[in-house]
Amino acid sequence: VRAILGLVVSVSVPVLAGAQARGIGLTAEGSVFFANEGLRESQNYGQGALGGAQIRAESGRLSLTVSELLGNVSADPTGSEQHSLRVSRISLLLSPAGWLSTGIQIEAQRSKQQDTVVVWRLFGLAAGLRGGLGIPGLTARLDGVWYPARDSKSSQFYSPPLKSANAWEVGLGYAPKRARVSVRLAYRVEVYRLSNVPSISRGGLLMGIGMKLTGDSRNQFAR
Amino acid sequence: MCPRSATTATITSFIVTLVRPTLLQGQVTVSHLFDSARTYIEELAIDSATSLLRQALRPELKATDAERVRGYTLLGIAILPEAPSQAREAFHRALVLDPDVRVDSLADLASGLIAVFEAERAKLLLLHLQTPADTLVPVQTGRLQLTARTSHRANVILSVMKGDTIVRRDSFRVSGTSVLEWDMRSRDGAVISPGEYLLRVDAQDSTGETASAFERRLTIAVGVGDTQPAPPALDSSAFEPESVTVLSHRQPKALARGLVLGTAAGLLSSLAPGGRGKTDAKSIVVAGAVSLAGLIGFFTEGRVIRPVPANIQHNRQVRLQDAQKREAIARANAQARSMPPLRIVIHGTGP
Repeated sequence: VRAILGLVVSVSVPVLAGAQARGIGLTAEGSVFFANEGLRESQNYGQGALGGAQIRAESGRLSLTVSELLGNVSADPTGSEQHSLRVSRISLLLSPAGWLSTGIQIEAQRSKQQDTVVVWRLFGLAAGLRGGLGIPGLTARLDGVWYPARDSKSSQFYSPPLKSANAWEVGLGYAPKRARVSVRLAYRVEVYRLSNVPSISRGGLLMGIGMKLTGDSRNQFAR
Repeated sequence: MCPRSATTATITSFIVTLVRPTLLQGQVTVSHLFDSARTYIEELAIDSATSLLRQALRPELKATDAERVRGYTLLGIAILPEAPSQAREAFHRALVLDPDVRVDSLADLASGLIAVFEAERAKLLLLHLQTPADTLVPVQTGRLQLTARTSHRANVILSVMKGDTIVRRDSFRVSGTSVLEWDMRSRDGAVISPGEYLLRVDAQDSTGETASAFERRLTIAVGVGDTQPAPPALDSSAFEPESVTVLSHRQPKALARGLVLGTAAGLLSSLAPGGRGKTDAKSIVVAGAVSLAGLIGFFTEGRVIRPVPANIQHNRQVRLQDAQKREAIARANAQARSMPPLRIVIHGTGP
């Protein structure tokens, strides 16, 4: 643990100093996703909580976000057993205007259920809208990602192939002026369309708290 | 010569011969000789006085200018009755050495002394010259200016010499005070090269009377162009505010956003597990939070920023003028650097 801690500190200090010197804004956020998961049309579903972190780097109108969520989803009464889930995302966004951002997102999901491991790799287009809610620092937000390209691998003999996926997030963010801390609250839904079987969806409450590590103390809206 | 005069002259020659070594040793001063000469004049021993004065004015006795002025004046007085032209010559020499010398206190020594002396003073040509000590003169268009003042109308000749070679020679008619200008060019019209020169000014009037030549050593070098500093950056006080913030008591956009996105959050739950008929409580929480925030924002006093076109135009003009000013200075500086002036140092400057 000490070695890892030392490594993190020894790497992060020069990275932060370099980012500060180059005017790159770095923000770290811890988030929790309280999600339900199951067949979209079914009344039965599993429940779980995924926790993780994300780092966002901003320079001018460009932003790069890397995030990782880990957690477990309980058994679904219709047949799905308890499984662990790991979701990794990288997104590169351009903001042509303050209220709009567009870009690409790459996502990898690893689901492990006993001895079976299913991995999905998704490549999609992302877009987001922002708008003030009349209170300084408070912003409404709507984000969507569409994954037309996918790649799925499974250790199981048969696994239904993934056709496409999309994800939506609606909520609000609060980033007080001259503060380094920001919070966000959103409702998030992810829909995965599979061949020959009903779609699987995962939806729930997403909460995050972020801190600006470098750059202006004036907060950008938490993404 | 009468016997008494011959005797006096012999005695005088004897005295001079006797006193010269003593004089040279500093025991008897030239001034004492002039005092003795004046005594002889008062005693009408003119030959003795004349002889003594001529001896005392000999160069090897190294009389000072003031002493020489006195000597020539006394000499002129002594010989005025018998040799008026030589007397005037002596007065002239005294006046050349000191144009302001007065003979009022000696009027009793010779009849008509003041009239003759003042007549000689009137004929005297005096030249005063004023020069800058250290100045910069633009190469192409600049001129070195010297102020000349003569006691009466005269022809003044300005010469610039390099060794024995006359580089430039100009003649000016001066009556009273005039400015002599030299365009920093040699006889062939080329701009003079940096180096050491001699500046000489002579004056001569129509009667042939000359003033003592005026000479100064002249150093000409390439100077450093006089550049202007760039003006400081425009202060914020130079600008008018380009926008004003006005308070808005109602913010319908905030309400609209809150309601639309709140509804979207509610509808989104239809995609979540549980099917179309069921609404996820978590989405209701988010929808409520977003809608409530929009509603509060609607009633919150907001600030709207409005542009002020007149001020924007004014600021644009200020920036444009500043840019033009900077450009003009940059151009002038570039020109000054590309064509540095000549620096002229005149040594021993003074009237």
